Amino acid sequence: MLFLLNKTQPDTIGLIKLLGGDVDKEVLLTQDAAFYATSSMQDQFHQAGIAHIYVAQDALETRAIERAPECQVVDYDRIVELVMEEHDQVVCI
Amino acid sequence: MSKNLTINLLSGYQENEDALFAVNLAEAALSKGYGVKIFLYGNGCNLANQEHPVQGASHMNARLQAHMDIGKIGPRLEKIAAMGAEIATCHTTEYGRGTEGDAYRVGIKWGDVGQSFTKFLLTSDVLLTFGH
Amino acid sequence: MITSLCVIVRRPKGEELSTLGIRTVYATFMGGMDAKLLCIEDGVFNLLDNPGYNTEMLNELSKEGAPIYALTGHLQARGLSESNLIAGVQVIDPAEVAEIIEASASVAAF
Repeated sequence: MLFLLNKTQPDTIGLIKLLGGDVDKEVLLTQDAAFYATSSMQDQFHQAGIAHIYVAQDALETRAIERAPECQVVDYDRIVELVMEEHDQVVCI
Repeated sequence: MSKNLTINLLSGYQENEDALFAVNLAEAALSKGYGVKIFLYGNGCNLANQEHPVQGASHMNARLQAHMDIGKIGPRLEKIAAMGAEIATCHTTEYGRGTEGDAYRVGIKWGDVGQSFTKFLLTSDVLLTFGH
Repeated sequence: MITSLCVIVRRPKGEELSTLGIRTVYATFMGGMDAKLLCIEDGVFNLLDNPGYNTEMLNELSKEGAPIYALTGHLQARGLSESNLIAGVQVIDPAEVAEIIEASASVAAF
């Protein structure tokens, strides 16, 4: 299950855990959610059992965020693949 | 047969980056051969109409205008419609904003949830709903 | 082809997003889709029995047998219980939320 985050919000990780349960989860950070591409947030994502974290290149660049190395930068072509081919479900929150 | 993506866009101009992200994603999906359908719902319906630019000199400085222009994605909606995207707006949310009678951009059609949006879903493989 | 949809409503009665979500469930369910409504966070306030369009739509959906769910913990956190809600709402726990989401072909959060 891919969680496409488009905003910052309180308890994002709690919401992902609620909606995603025990299924395999990945996260794509877009828009202001790109602020979660930092190392401290990656630790929280990983502790919540989220395997991979992607961040949209444009959102990252316009915010000049110091990205955690394990957070993978993706362009729109790659986002299309993630959304259309690599996940059975995409949940935008 | 290629897959289809429906984007349910709940945000309009400037308030956030949902519309910009939606258009960037739609363009990329169309370029890769996917079908794209966009439903303009809630404030998203504000994107459906033709603009009414002020006549004469602008009262904005160039820096502010450049900032505002980033979010003015209306012409790009026309472009992706020309690339094959189906784009429909919700006439009810238009009614609520007093824009129901305004002319649509080229390629954008009158629509509703019960018919247009439901039909989009029934002919799509993936639904994304962007809102704030 | 998407034939099942779980609409998640997170915002309360006074915000348009709540109406858009409820309207989406109503239109798709009445159109024959396997549509369901899940109210979480402040979205649970929509399930109180009060006047207005949202409640009218919800009561019609309930009468027609549309699944309407509310998360128990989010009700409790807002001082609400099942007895405060319109008829037909199923109060569920977090494990059931995840099951409902997983069983839906598509999810739309409002």
